[in-house]
Amino acid sequence: MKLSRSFYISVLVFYFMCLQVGHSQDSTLSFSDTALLENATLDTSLNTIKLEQNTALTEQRNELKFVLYLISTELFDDAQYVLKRMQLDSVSQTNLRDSVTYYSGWIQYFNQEFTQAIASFSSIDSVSSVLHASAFYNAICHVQIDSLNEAKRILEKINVSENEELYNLKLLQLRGISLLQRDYQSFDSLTNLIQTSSFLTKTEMEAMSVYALDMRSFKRKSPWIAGLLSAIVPGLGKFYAGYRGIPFGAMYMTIPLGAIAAESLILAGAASLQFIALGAIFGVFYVGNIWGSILSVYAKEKEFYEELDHNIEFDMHTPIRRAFY
Amino acid sequence: MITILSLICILPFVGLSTEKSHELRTADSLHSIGLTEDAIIAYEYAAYAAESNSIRTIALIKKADCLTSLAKTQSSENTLSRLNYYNLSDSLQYQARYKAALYAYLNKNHEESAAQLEMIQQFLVDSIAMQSKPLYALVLNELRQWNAAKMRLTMWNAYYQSSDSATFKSITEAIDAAYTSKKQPKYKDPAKAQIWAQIIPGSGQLYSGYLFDAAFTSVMVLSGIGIAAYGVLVAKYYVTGIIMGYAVFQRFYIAGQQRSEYLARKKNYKTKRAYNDELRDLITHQLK
Repeated sequence: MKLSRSFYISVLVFYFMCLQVGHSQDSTLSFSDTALLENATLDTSLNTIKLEQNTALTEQRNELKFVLYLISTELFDDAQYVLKRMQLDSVSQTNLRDSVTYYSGWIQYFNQEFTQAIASFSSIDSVSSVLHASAFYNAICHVQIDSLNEAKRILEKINVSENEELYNLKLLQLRGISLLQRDYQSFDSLTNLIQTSSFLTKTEMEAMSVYALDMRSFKRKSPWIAGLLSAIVPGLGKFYAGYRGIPFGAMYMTIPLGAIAAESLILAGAASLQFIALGAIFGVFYVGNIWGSILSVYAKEKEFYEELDHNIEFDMHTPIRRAFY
Repeated sequence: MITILSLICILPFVGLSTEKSHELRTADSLHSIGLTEDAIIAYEYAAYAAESNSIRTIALIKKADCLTSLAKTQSSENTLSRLNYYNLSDSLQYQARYKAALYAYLNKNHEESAAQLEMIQQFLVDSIAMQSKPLYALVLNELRQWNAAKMRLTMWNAYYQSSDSATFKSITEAIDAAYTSKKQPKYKDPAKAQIWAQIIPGSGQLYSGYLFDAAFTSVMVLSGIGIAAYGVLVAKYYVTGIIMGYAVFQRFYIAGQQRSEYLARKKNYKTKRAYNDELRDLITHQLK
């Protein structure tokens, strides 16, 4: 009975001890559970942040796809509005940020806002996938604002030696700039660097050679001869300079005035007020016509180069758009 | 113009299609709180993301409406020129074509407007197409096809007012009175005006209805002849007389021909405008 009582007591003590240990274990477990739960909560919040980041990235990508759709539909104003709304700071990926900047620049280029386009293209990251495209557009924008040396510098920095098409495009741009600068020596040395022709630039490369030939063969007419011819027959100097319609206008005004002045001289005499007035009017037109003929030689030269410059710039733009539209 | 716009815009539409996407609802919300520029982009996005041509069409129509509210009617017309009418319900096709016609009309692109309205008449049932008749009449007025415009209005009146004989009769009388051949403008032929000016200086302007212009040209041309005659016959300054006389004569003789042609066109425009404005008032009054 004693044994049984002590046994029961031992069992009871053991039970309470176990219970206590169990409790202490339970409490330890609960601490670790809390820690796990806290960790789990932290992980969940991190996942939420990651998820939010991913969602934001997906949204930005979708928005950029929408911008591309707007550009392809030629809704440039709408595309610009969306790009402005996409705040660059909130664009997490560098590549995506560069794409946003690139398309902003592209639309500015298309809207002929060249200074703003230069700012956009210049801010593209040096490891971006749109680096080459932005560099070419940046250079052509500099050409448009007559910053030819800067355009040349940008093009020379582009490393496209491994890509034959882009290498030819670079050569074409540099040749165009050489012609715009009337640097025929540089043009020739760049022409010698062409090894193969590519579909992207073939037509424009040939056109550049024709422009160079035209420029070299152009000889300005003599302003002295133009003046002399106009002194003999009013308007003939302008005809000599290369104009075809204007000379008749000059003749139409000056010759009748000369005839009136001559008649006045014959009928009223050299000392008459009538002859002095009419003679003065004729003199102004006569001398003005000679001076106009001299200037027309320079004007014709300017027109010739302006037309060629326009064609050169056009042929520089076309393959860039062909390559990167 | 605001009255006509509101009448023509609102009357033919009881409500746009109820088919809507999430993007379209977002755009509607932006529009309803006055963010029109954002709504324009949102409608374009809805058109871009649209799963059906119907949703795309609704989005583009609403975008055009937003653009019009910003007084960009040319952009509205351009937006609706991108619509694809294939596989649309009759009511939606009507809404799309009607809006396209309306914005073309507002941009004075009357041929395009007439083409859209003719499509409505050809492809849609009378019960739907009949609503577009007043706009069609306005467009035909601008194209100087007054008899065709009168016919459209008569049809419209017969369709909608047949139950009310008194109203039908009064509108019929108003239409008949406005479109009588006597009231329709008689056009001056610019080529004929130029030929008259070649034969008798000043008569071209007179034909166009500009008396002062005609008198001025006649006087100046005669002055040129007078200067030449005076120089040759009186002053004995033959060269000076002929040259100065010829200069004045030639200047006003040639300019008179060009001005006669211009004035004939101007007269035609003014006559047409006055008559069409009167007709427009009549049509909008009947719509009310």
